[in-house]
Amino acid sequence: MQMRGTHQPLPARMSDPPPDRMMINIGPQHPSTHGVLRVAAQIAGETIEKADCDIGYLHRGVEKLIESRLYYQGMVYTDRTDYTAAPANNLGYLMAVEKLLGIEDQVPERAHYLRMIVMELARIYGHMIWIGTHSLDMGAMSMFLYAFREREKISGLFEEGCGARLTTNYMRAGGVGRHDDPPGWLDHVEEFANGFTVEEFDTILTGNEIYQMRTQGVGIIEPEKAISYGVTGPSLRGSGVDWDLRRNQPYARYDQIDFEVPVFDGCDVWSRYLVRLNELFQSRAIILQSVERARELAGQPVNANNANVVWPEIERVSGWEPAGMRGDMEAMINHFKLVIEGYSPPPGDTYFGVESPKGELGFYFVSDGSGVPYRCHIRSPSFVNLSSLSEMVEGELIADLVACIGSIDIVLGEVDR
Amino acid sequence: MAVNAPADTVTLTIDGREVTVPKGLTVLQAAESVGIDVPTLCNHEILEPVGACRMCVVEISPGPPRPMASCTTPAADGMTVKTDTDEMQQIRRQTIELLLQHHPLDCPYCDQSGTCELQDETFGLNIWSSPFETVSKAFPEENLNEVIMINHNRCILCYRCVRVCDEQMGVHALDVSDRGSKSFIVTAQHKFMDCERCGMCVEVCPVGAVLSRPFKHQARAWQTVQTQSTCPHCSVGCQLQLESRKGTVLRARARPVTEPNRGILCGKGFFGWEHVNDPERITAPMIRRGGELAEVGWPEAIEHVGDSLLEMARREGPESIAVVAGNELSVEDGYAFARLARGALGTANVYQAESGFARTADAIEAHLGSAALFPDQDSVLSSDFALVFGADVNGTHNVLAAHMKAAAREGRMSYATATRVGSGLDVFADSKLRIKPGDEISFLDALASPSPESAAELGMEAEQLSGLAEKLSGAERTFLIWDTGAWTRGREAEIAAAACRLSTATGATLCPLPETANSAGIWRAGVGPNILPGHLPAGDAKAQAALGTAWNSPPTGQGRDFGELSSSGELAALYLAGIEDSSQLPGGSVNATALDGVRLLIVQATHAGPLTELADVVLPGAASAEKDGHLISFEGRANRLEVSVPPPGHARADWEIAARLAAYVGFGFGHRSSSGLWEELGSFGIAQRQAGDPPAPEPNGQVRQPTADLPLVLANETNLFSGNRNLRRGDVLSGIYSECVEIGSSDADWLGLSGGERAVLRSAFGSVDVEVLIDDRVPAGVVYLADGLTGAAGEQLYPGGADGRPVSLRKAGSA
Repeated sequence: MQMRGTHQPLPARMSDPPPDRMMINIGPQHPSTHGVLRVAAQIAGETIEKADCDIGYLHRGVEKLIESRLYYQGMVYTDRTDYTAAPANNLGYLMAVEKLLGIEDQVPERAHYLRMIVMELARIYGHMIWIGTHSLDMGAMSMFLYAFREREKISGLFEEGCGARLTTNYMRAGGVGRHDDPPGWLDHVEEFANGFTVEEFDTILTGNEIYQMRTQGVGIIEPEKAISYGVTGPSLRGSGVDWDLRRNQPYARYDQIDFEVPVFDGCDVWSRYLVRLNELFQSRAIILQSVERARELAGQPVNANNANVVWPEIERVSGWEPAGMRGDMEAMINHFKLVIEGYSPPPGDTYFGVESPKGELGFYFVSDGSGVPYRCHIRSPSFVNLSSLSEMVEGELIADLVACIGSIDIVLGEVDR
Repeated sequence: MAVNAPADTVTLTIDGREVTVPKGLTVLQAAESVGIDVPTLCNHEILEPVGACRMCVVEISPGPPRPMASCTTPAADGMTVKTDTDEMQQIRRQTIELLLQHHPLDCPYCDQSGTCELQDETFGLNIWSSPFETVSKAFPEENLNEVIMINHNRCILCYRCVRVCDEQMGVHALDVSDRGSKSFIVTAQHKFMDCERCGMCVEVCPVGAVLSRPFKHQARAWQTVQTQSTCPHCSVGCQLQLESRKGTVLRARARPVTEPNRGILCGKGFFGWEHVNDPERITAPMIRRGGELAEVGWPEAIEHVGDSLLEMARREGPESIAVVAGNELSVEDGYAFARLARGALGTANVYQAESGFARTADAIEAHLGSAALFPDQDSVLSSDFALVFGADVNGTHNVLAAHMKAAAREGRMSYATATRVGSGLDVFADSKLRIKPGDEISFLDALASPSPESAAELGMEAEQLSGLAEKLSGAERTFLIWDTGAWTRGREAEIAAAACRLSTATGATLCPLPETANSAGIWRAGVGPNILPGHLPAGDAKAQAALGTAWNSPPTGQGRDFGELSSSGELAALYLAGIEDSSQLPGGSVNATALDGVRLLIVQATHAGPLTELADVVLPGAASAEKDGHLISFEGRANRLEVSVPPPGHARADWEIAARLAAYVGFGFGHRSSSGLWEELGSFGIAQRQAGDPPAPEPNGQVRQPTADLPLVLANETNLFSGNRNLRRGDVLSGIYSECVEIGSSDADWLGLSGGERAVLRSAFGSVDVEVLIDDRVPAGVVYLADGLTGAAGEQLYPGGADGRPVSLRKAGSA
């Protein structure tokens, strides 16, 4: 049966509902879907019997785009997958590229801590969007304003650090490129972290009886089910599975930092909310410790000492007029080759996953030895986590669908890529 | 199975791997043969090693206790070679660092960026910063000539340009001046480099020091689209790589290193691509209405042409239609026109455009059989002796001449020149003789039976003649090489017959060089009134049947001679494809009257010209870089054309237009690509003719003796850039030769002319205003006129062949 008013046929198992059932579309244009997602639900009365996600409305072919560009050019596309936490995607992309190049060990200490600072700022940044929009779905209007107030502060910090507020493109293979910490930036980050509190969210939501009633015991997904669906991140930890790549497969310098991994075992929307709320606190702790370490390392390099990957300083390339300095021919050649041909990892393939705010964000590359990836695949947590939605909502009330979508924290830019 | 005898190979160890290579290879070549990469800068595939850059240093034991240049060290038995030790890498790094100390920071706008070998090595050897205080040199860029410039600041003194000019081209226009780090590349003779403009110095330069002026700042190397194709400018059939961007051909490169040109090109192939990009190209079909040509769409043009031709055929019979295919079209194009005429329009009057080679080949086939045609280049270049006579082959088939020079210099072959003017080939020739224009036939006959009298008649020493004759008959593998271009016009068959007689007398193999890129291909495809595709006579019943089956319509039989047809007044419609002016009509410009008589003149061309001005319908054809197909070289080798850029506007490949027209008149070809036509033509095979004993061609009775009024003799032959009209389009090569004649200095004194002056060249039929160049390569009593430079006026000096005819040259303005 072709649904009237839609241009997409229904998923196959939805196409022919029994006579006493009704098909209902949530989306593709619906405020609660946080992007262009269509959920086709078969309902019996108010109860959802089946729910299928129809995705792909925001597909831009990011992987294919990356496959047609040099490695350094491909990174800007990662800013645009999970655009609520761009630096986290940058890091995942670069860790994979660095592994492919075999230069993981050459990344300097200071660069690692700077990367962790922006990575955790990005986690708070992403969670702020989540908490704001999710509570908006639940009817808690004012939450949104408080959350976005905090998010604005982080936008400002990003801008101060690298010039961009949303699509940061902060790092480079081998370090953080020309973006080290501008004077005063670490102070501002510290100031923000010290002032950051979850008290308001706690007051407005955690203690809110309506919110509790709408989330507790809703959208249940058992730990085994969650694992079998490949769910990761806060959604997995909300089902009581203690798994966090920052601790279980440490990268950057997460093994040098004290932090806890919040786990709640309610398996419901409420538990997933609590995990994220507590993570905000942990991110704050990581930022404060990283700022401390970055201060100790002040003055040290932020890029690997490898001219085959890291672009030379512009002063060395073009000369420095006021000082009457001639540019360096070697730097000119290296710069030219890196800009035009890029760096060429040896043939082979690699996978690297990082703990993004949404879960395990992995990049898989196949290199044929040229400057352009032969194959790029993004294991995006939003896409994988979204597959568990049917499992959560089947048997629930139609009104709970909105709570469930919000609780797995998807970004359609990342689902569709 | 026999393996190489131990004496022929050497076994050495390179980086721990045992390598067995033929004796005589260098250590570098041995390493490369097993895929071990040793960085080099001065080494080049097509050049002898010189050991200038010291990048390829390796450790060799047993051997001298110092790094050895692997490119100049012969591989020897029992050597242990280490290419990649830290010390060697350090030496290479320092070599580069020293080179970069003065290298200008030009990468952002240097044409070589991206294909620069200095960049590659710097990046590959992980050189990150300079240990030296660096200083830029600031020599100004110099224009060496019209097409080549040099930037000394970027030069790394690898001497590749000097070596390629000397070793491969045999020109030696470049040299090195001064010593050590102060040395630099200079032109060998004058500040203006009056060389052959082959561009090979640009091609081999590893950095952006020697540059192509037309390509300068046109595109970055990585932005271009590369296609492998064949040069359309002469019959050597050089393989080249065309680089284009956004539908514009930007440059050609001499790669890959393969037969027949072995990694070199001449100026025609290297720079001669302006005609493709010419804004003056015909881009849409045009029909003459009210005296003016008006652009129309393809459907209308095909309908108009098809309907007009059908109407002619209905009213006056299909034989009133004639189709002519030009010599620079591809084989497929030529075949398509033969099939259009014979299979679809029902006329047997299909002609190959005027071609010296076609007449020569017909004559040779009649005398010695088909087997005497198409010798291969390899055997020419390894022959014991070759005689080049007639036109200067260095000008007409430059790459073949370059190969001959290189082979003679290395002792792989020897040759003598018996040309009319001095040739670039003379330098490495065993002996050189100057033959007066017009005397070639008697010269060939004199060689067959030398006598003091005939030598005296030719104005040469008896020993010279007999010596040459002895070499021809004494040596085992000998060749007679001549260009079949302008200088043979009107007496192609006579010259060919004389060459056949000499061949029979001495056992020499004939090597006629077709005057255009595909005159051999059109000839062999069987485009003619007396010949069918498959190269069988038009009346042959078996061939008729085979074609009838393939075409679904019986082919027409014997057609009429073009001259006879055009003078009979029965020619109603004429379809000319790939023809630029009346001199290319079958039989030459004497048949230009055909153009006045016809009621429908269809001209298919790439550029507007004298014929499109007369045409009733103009159809836009494609240049060679815009279509796929084949060209047949002087060796009989079929070389591929690839589509490098799309044809401009509504222009189409010539075979495609013929196919559309055939489909319109109801006899479609059934092929959607040129490869279908190629395979179909191939299925007919090429019929071989046996040797015969035809009557000697009658001398055409042209007056060749100077008179008091016309005291000089004209040498009218193809110059390096003159023969092909396409070379003179655009402004890259057109300025190299202007409308000029060359005379020797003694004649100039006698005539009171000085270089650069205007003069009037007069014949019994007409005159032309030209510039005078004084060059002592032209013997006394001879005026050298490059074919095609003087346009229609030059053609009219002696319609039907001006070479060897008497002329006078007087200062312009004098009586």
